[in-house]
Amino acid sequence: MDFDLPPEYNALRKMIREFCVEEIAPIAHKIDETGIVERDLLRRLGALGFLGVPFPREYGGMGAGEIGYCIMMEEMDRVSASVATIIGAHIGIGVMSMYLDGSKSLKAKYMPDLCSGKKVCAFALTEPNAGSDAAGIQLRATLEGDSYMLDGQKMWITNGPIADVINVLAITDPALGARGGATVFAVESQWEGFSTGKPERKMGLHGSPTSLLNFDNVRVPKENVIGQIGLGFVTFMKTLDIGRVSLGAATLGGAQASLEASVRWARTRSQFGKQIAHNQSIQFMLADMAAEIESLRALVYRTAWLVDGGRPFIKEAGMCKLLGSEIASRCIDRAVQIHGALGLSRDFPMERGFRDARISEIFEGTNEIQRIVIASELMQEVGVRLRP
Amino acid sequence: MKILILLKPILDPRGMMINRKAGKVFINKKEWMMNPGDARALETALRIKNTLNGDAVVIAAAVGEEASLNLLRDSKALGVDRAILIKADAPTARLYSALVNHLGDIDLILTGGSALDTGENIGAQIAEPLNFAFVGGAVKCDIENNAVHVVKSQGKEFHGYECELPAVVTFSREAPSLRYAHGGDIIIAYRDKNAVETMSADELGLTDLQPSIVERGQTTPPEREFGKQVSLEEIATAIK
Repeated sequence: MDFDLPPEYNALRKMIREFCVEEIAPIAHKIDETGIVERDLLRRLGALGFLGVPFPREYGGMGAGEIGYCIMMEEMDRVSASVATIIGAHIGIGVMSMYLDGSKSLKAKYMPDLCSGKKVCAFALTEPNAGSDAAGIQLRATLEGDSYMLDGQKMWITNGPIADVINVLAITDPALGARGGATVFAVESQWEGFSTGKPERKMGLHGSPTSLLNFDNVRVPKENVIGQIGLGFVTFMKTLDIGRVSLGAATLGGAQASLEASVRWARTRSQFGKQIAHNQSIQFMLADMAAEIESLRALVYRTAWLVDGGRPFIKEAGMCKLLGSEIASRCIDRAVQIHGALGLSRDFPMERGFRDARISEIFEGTNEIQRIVIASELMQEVGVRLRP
Repeated sequence: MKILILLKPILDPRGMMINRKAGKVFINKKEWMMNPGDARALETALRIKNTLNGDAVVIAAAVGEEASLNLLRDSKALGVDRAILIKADAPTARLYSALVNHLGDIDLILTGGSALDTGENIGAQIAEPLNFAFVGGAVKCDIENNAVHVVKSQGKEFHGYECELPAVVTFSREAPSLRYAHGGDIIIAYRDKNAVETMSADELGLTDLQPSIVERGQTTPPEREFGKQVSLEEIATAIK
């Protein structure tokens, strides 16, 4: 067994960490306050390959695989969960769905621009009446000559207001419903009939814009169909499965940041005439955080290794997301406790981390859904099919 | 136009702690980084290559083992044309001047000023045996009409220097910092087994190398004593 990452990944992590600490950490607070991530920052990230980490060089990506992508998400979330979420929605589910099932010409048309930061991608599944029940979507796509007309609404779409290309799941055959009658379309935001609602006001992730998308008879040419007609649901579920790994990596970064800040604070802060690190109550919290983070790190990178090796990973991916989001929430909660009143201060990163961590238990499949995914994989190993 | 960059890995000072009472340096995290001046030399070389529209060959060289090898791979990812690792104990002027003679036609040698760890100034040391012109502490360096133009920061002023090629220029930490490499280039540079050429001291014709530095122990400088605060009147009476 070899738990050492190959040297190229260590070098990659070093570069990514340097960029995150030097360029993003100083503006992370401002991003949260203003809710704006400059397009220029995304272009700079794109120029270094950050916006196409797992994709091959021929499509403008970095060619670093899922392991490289997990490293990037971990380091990014360590400094700014908002930027990490923009990138996560862009690569992890947006471009990924195009990369997994898109045609060669479609990938050649969009992926170089998406990976270089010229364009931003989004992934649209959730609807006003379909969240965890993804099969309940109603956005309708009707064939008219050589193109499809999309009509309906999507909700809570990360990157919605800033996306240039949106991969949308729509119903092409209402008789079959989502399973067998849904198709994915790549929609450009400047096409007629497309509009976005105003950005949602959220508890956390202020820098990552989320909004409603309106499709008012948007004409989408047939070439922009991703995958096969009728099998869109499969494409989206495959994408979500793989996206959970990097989401786990992102939560790992957030948890790690809270631990590092807590260790620093325990060394700096003195009460009763000694550093608070000398109190067992603080030591126990730090030790619990470190133990949980280490177990999560082992799980995340092993799962990424499974993905890169082309082995089955769905169960482990669900665990990454489930454990990652819960561990991150617990760690940041303890970090706030260790920081005391300063943990509540808007001028300290703990308060932002606390707000940003909560969403991880909800988006990209709630943790309850993750438990169902894991259980159905467990049962499948003994021949029982839980998922239809 | 052939430009040689000399790189040196140093232990990242952020991973160290100095304990005065114990008189020791504790290394909490052993991580290597590029000497800051060398990183600026590399950045300048890449800029010169850019302005000459690729009409320059940039060669990076370092002495040592794994840490030096990684620096050379990093520089390769940044767009250096050749990277050469010399297997020897420590970088010395003899070793580097032998390399320069081995490569031949080197027009410009760029490196950092005094190294952050040992404080040695390899640039000044190799200029002498090679009989190259030398400018130290540069913040900016351009090539024009076969001459090198260097801007140095001295106190609050900037001084311009011009000298003919071949020359050695060392950089201060005020020079522009190193750019980031594209992640994909890092992956390629590290996976390519032939990215870095290796040479031994024997191949450079040096067979009698002795280690230049021997570590005998660690001590910290004596504790500084606070001075006495005096008033203007006291100075006036003392001068009288």
